Amino acid sequence: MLLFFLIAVLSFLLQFFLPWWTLAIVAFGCAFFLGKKSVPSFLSGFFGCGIVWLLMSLFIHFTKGDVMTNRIVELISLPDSWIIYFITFLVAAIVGGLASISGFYLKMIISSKKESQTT
Amino acid sequence: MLLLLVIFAAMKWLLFVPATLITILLCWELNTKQGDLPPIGTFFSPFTGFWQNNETGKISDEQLKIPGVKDKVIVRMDDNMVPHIFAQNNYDLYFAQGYITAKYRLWQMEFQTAAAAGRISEIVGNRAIDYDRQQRQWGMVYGAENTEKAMESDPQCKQAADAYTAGVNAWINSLSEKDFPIEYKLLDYKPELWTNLKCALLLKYLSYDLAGYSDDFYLTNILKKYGEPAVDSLFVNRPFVMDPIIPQGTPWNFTPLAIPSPPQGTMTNAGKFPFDHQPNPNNGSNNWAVSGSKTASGYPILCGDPHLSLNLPSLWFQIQLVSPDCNVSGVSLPGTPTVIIGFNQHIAWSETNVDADVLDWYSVKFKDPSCNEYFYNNEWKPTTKRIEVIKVRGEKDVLDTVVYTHQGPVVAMSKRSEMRPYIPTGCAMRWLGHDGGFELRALLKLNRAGNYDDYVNALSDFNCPAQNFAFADDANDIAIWVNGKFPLKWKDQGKFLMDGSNPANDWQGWIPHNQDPHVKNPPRGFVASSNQSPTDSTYPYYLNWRYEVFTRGHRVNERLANMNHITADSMRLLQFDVKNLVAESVLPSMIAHLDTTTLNSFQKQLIQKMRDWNLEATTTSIEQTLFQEWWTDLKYDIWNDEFGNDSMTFPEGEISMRTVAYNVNQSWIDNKNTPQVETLNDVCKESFHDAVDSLTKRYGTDLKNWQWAKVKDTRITHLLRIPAFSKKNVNTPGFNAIVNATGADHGPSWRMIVELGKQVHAFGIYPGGQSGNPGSPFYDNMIDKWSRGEQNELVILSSADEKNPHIVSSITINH
Repeated sequence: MLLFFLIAVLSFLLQFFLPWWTLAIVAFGCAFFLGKKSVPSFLSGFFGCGIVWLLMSLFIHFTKGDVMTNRIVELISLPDSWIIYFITFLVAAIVGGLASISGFYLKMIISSKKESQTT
Repeated sequence: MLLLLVIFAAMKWLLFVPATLITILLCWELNTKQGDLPPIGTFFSPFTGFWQNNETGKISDEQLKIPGVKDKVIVRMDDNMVPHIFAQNNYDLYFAQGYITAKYRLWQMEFQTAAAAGRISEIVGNRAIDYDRQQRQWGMVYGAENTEKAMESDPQCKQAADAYTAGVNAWINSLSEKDFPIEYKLLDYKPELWTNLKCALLLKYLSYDLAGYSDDFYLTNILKKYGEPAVDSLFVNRPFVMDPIIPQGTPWNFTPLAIPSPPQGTMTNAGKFPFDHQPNPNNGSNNWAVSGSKTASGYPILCGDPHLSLNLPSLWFQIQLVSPDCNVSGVSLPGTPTVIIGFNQHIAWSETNVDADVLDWYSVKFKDPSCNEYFYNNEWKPTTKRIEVIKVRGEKDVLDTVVYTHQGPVVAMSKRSEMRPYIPTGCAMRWLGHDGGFELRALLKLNRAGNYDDYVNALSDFNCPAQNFAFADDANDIAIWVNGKFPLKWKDQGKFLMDGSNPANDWQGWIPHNQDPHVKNPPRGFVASSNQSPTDSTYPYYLNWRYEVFTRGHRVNERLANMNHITADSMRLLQFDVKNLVAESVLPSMIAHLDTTTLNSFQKQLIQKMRDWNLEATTTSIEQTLFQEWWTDLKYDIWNDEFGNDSMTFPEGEISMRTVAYNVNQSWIDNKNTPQVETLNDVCKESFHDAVDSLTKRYGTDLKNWQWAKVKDTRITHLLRIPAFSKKNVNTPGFNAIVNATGADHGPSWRMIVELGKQVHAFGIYPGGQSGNPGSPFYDNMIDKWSRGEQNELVILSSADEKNPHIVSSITINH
C-alpha cells in the first residue's frame, strides 16, 4: 500500500512540471526501492499511475466541464463517454505497471548479486 | 550450486531486460506522433493533453503584468466574451488587441497565415507540398513582403503592426504546453512567434479570397471555339434587371482620363491541357445605409452583411477598441490590427466585394528552357527568379524556382494545376494583390473617421481587394464608394489572355481615386450594394464584364424604396429576406413551357405546389428544393453540350434567365449531340423529369424529406474539416442569389445593424463564437441565434469604468 501511495503522490506532483512519462521513472524508482514482490509491485504502479490520471480527469470534468472531452469522444468514435476515462486510466496504468515491475526486477538482480557475494 | 545460482541470476535478467525495454519503447511510442494520430500519452494526459482544453466559459477578473505595454490597459469582457479594450495610447491599444485576439484565436491566426504563405507541409508533412507550391507560385509571400514594406514605411502603420505583433508574442510567450490550443496538440506542433509579415499575409489572404479569381482562360477558349458573336451575346455584363449600385442617372462630375486603345491581336494561345473541376466563386455580400429621412429615429441606419465561407473558428472576432483618439466597435480579422467592419460614435461603415478585374494573364515567350530571358517590346529581357524553400515535416526541404517577368509570376509553368484549373500555363500573372498597399492605413483612419470627408480620405488608401464601402454618419450623410485601385483599361482588357510581349497590353495607368464610382446622399434616400454591376453604361471606365446576379441588389432596393419609419428590427427582417427573385424571373416560363398533360399524379401535385408558391426559400419549403434542382438541371441541359467541357465555363446566370424567361438563344438550347432540334419545351420537360427523379431517388416520395433546410444542409466546418469540431445540420433558410444568402457552407458571416444618433445602438451576430477553442461554450454559441435571423445588441462602453449589466469581468494589464 505504501508503494502505491508513494507512486501516486510523487507522479501526481511531478507531472505538473515535467512531461507525462516521468510517471514511468517514478514507478520504476519507487518499486526499485520499496518493491517486495512482483505482482504487488506491478499493481502498485498500475493503479498508482492510472488512478492519478483518472482522478485528475474527473477533477477537470467537475471544475472545467466536458465540452472538449465530448468532442474527443465523438472524434475517436467512442460509443459512450465513460470509455474515454477508462482509456485515460489505462494509458497511465499500463505504463506505470510495466515501469514498476521493471524497477522491481532490477532490485531482484542487484539483491541476488548481493546474496551471491555474501555466500 | 554455483550453476544454479547463475541460472537463477540469468532468469532475473531475462525478466528485467524485456520488461524495461517494453516500458521504454511504450513510452517512446506514446510520446510520438503516429501517422495522423497525435502522441497518445501526451494527448490523453490530463496534465497536458486535451483534458486541459475544457473550459466552463466563466471569465474571471485578472491582474496581469506584461512587459511591453507602456501604460495601464483595461480590458472589460462582456457576457458574450467580447473584449472592450481601453488604452492610454495607440501602441498599447494594438498591443492589447494582439494579446487578447491571440488568447482566443491563436491557432486560427497562425494556421491561416501558414495557409496563405504555403507553409502547411511544415505542419502536416508531404501531403501538402502541392498546395504549398501553388501558394508560392501564386506569389503570396512576394505580395505580403511588398505590403509589409509599405506598412513599415508609414509610421502609424508600423506602430500599429509592431504593437499588435508584440502583443501576440506576449501571449505566445506566456504559454506552456498544456495551454496550447487543441489543434496544436492534435497535429503535434508548437506556436511560432508572430511577425508583421504575418499581418500582411492575412490581408493578402483576403485579397486572394475576394480578388483572386479569373476566368480569362475559359473565355479565351470560348472565343476561339465560338467566335466573337457568341462571346458578345453570352459572356457580357447584361443584367436581367438593370439596378446598379450607383443609381442610374447619377451624373459623373469629372473629366475622365483618355482610355488607352487596344492593340491588334490581343488574343494568344491558351493551353491545351485537360483539367478536372470548375471553381465556384460565390463571395457575395449585402450592405446598405438609409438616410434619416426614412427612419423612425431621424438618424441614418447602416447595415452590413458580408457573405463568406462559413468556418469555425469564425473568420471574425468582435471587439471594441478605445484610445484617446479612437472609440470603435465591430469585427476584426484575427491577425490584423483595427476593426474591419464597424462603427464609432459618429460613423458606421461596411464593405461588400466589388469584383473588379485586377488579375490578368500574359503569355510569355522564353528564349530557351532556362527561362532566363523573355521577349518583350522586341527585345530579350531578363526574368527574375525567386527560390521558394518549402520545409516538409520529417523530410528534406523542397525547392521550387518561380520565374517572374515585369508583370508578375509565371504561376503554372507547364503543368496544369489540379486545384486551380483556371490558371493558364506559361502565362505571367499581373495581380493588384502583389502590389504593396496601404490598406492598414486606410483602416486606421476609417476607425477614427468622424464625417464623410474623413471617410473618403481613408478610402483613398484602400487599394485591394476593391470594396463597396457603404457609409452613414450622425450628420445625416449617407454614401457609397465603389472603392479600390482600378487599372485604366480599354473595354474588355484582360477578359482574355494577352500577349505578354506587347507593351500596349500592360496596364497603362490608374483611374483617379476621386473618379471611382460613388454617390453621396442620393435623392432616393438610401445607398445599397450586393455585388451587382456598380454602374449603368454611362460610367466612362471599364472595371469588369461580370458581376453578381442582380437579384439580391434589386430585392434590397425594391424593399428599401418602399420602406419608411425604418427601425433596426425592420432592417433585421430585410437581412433575413428569403424571396427568390431568380424563381420569380424564370419559374413562370419554366411551367408554361412544360407539357403538363403527360405528367403523373405525383408530378402534377408538385407542379400545382410550384404554381401556388410564394417564392420564399423558407426552411420548410418543398418548392425551393424542387426549383433549385430543376433550374440547375435546366441550365445544364441548355449549356452543357457547348460549354460543358473542362476548359470552358457556362454563361452567367442572368444570360440563362434571359434565355428561359424570353425563350431566346434557341440555337444554344438545342442539344448538338442529338439529331433532332430541341426547344425550350423539350429541355424544360427533360430537366423537370430529371429533377423529380433525382429528388425522389435521394429523399423518397414523402415530401417532408424534401424540405429545403434539410436538403441544403448548412454546416459550419472547422478549418481542419474535423466533424467533431464542426456544426452540422444548421436549420436555416435562404440561398445564393437571395438576400439571405445562406448556402450549404457559405453565407452571412457577420450581420450588423447600426443606428446612429446621439447614442449609437448596434446589433450584430456571426455564425460562431468568440472563442476559437472547441472546448469552450463560446466556440459556437451564436450559431442557433444566427440561424433564426436574430441578433445580439452590441455592448458599447464610453469609458473604462462605465457600469453595464453585460460586463462580467475586467482584465487589468500593467507593465
